[in-house]
Amino acid sequence: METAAETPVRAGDRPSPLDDFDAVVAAHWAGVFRFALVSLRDADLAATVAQDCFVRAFRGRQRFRGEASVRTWLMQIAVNLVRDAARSRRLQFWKRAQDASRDFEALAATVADGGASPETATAVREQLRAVWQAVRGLPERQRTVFLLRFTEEMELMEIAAVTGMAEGTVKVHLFRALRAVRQSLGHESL
Amino acid sequence: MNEHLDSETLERHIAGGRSLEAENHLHECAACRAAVSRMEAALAQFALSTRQWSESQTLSRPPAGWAAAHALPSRRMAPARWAAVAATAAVLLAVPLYHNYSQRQAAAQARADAVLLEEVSTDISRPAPQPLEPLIELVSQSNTGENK
Repeated sequence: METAAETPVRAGDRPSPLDDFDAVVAAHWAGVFRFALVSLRDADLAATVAQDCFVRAFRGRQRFRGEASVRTWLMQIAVNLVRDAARSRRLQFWKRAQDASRDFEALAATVADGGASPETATAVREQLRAVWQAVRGLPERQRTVFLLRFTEEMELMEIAAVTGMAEGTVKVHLFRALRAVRQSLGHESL
Repeated sequence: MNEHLDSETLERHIAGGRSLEAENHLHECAACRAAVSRMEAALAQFALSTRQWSESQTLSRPPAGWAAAHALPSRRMAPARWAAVAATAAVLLAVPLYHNYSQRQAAAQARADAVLLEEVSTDISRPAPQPLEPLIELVSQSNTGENK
């Protein structure tokens, strides 16, 4: 079921979910922040991206014609901001790349033992490490498409709308990303 | 049993591009079904971990009253902006007023100049300065009497 904030916004003087912008922020901040965090691996930078995203959305809300959902519109802005942030901080990324284990430890800390045996928990962490390493190594477009599909659970058409790519191009990037992840997991052969 | 699904078909299936042929194969082939399940489990764990990692960050929650803090300045103008607008309006109003005042002053000056010129013209056209006019008139009358 669509939430109010995911309902396409209509042009004109009819009420729209954007009228209550605090509700829009409350509904979508976490998703924008999460996408930026996993893409940039920097919580402060991710928060800056989220902030900029909503400021731009608020200032541009009059131009929003409601052809896409609010989430699609916000993620369009977020994807562009993440790309700009990554490019402007390429040097810092290069330095951070030497400390990749720190990112993974933060991610792996979320794996709850939950009564599982130590062997199972270790296996899950190793699996997670393989996916994380593969995602880190993906080219920018493949990573964006992969994250939108598997962490934000977007359909291919919505990813196409967010990224401005044709749906066929989205599929190609997604297949390549999945192949890299499968290879990293050692699943490539049956 | 057919051969196992190739990598591309498996990846397409996992990505959401499902085909009837692949669905039928997966229904019959335990090895391919297990391969898809392993991959989907790994992706689900990744999604769950990124979600929990993000939620563990204090910055993952939006600041309270975001719109009031960030949006309202664009709707409600700050006092400095009001002052700038008022100053601009004052200048815009003052320019035509000053322009009208200047025009009125110029017109009054022109009228005064015209009166002055008229007086000068009248003075110049007299045969003698105004204070001497009675004397000239007497001389004129005496000349008329002598002629008679």
